[in-house]
Amino acid sequence: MNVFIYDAVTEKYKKTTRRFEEKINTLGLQGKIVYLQSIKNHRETIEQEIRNGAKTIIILGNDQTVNNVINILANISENVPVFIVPIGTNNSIAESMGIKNEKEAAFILSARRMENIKIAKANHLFFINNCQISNKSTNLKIDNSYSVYSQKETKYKVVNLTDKESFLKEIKSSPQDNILELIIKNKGNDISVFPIKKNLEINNDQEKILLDNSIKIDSPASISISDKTMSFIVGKERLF
Amino acid sequence: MFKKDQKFENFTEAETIIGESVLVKGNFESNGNLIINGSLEGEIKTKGAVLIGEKSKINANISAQEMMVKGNVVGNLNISDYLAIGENAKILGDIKCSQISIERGAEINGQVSISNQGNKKEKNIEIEKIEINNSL
Repeated sequence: MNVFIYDAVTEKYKKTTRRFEEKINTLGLQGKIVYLQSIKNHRETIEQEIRNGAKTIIILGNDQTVNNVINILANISENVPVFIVPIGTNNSIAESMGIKNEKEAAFILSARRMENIKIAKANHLFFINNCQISNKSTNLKIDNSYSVYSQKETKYKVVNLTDKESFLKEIKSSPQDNILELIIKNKGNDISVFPIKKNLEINNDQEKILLDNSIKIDSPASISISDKTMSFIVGKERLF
Repeated sequence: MFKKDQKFENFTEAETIIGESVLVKGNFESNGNLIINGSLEGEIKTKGAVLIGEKSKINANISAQEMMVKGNVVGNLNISDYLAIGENAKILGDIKCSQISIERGAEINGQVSISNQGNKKEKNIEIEKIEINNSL
């Protein structure tokens, strides 16, 4: 059974959501709908759906929705395939997975092309795409052996899935190689790339770390690949 | 591995890239290729190749399979295979390698030891002290 998880953002983008539903009905992929805004305990509800035999978890929302659900699923032992339907703005995770819009999404779900993806971790929270922080007053230590400093104002970005910005610069990050990439981009071709094989320690008592363009956490933080692998249904035009 | 500079301009060839505005401090170990256009203080060990760009400032001992130096290095170089030194390179340190090429204009201040282990018939070349200041 398909379980569709609707975030509150679907209320704001009713037409988009409706277009996806129409395609799903045409393709005969209907299933149960769970509205996150109407339940108090997201974790308990999703766990219950998996116990009831959910075959695919389909998330309708943006990066924040995906991060929220991934943090629930990553703590569940069953590996139920996940699919993302981008609704509204801030959909870089869906974009990395080759799912550009709700119209394409229904067909990609139907094709069921599966990839296993390693999820990354920042302290006790999971993220799938990237995390970033301003370089101002930030100290970084990679694999407990060397420190990295940018001498110009920029952002430090740790990437698990290749996003569009990296893809255009021909920097590819595979979420299947157990390595994260620290990317520091300054003007022009002044780009740095460092593989993170064990962990990255971030220290900054002024700025917060942004996970998946949605969740902010304090430092110090230890960033690494987690031991959790999840299956995702992806599009042919995925960026990794 | 590389034989031409152009190979380094392709990001996919290098596991690590240190850009112009970045400083790295510490011990850097890798199995892949490394491009440095910025600054590094510490030590580099890689089983791959290292390109040191013209604007780079390196204060480190370096062990690698292959290496091309176009910038400034203060430290000893231990290269198991091929070392190429560009016209604007300035190296202050001892060099060990199997093969070497040095462009006119390069500055080297240190002991250079070239030992071709691949060809047993060939004698090792040991140069006690070599200083090349725009003299090649």
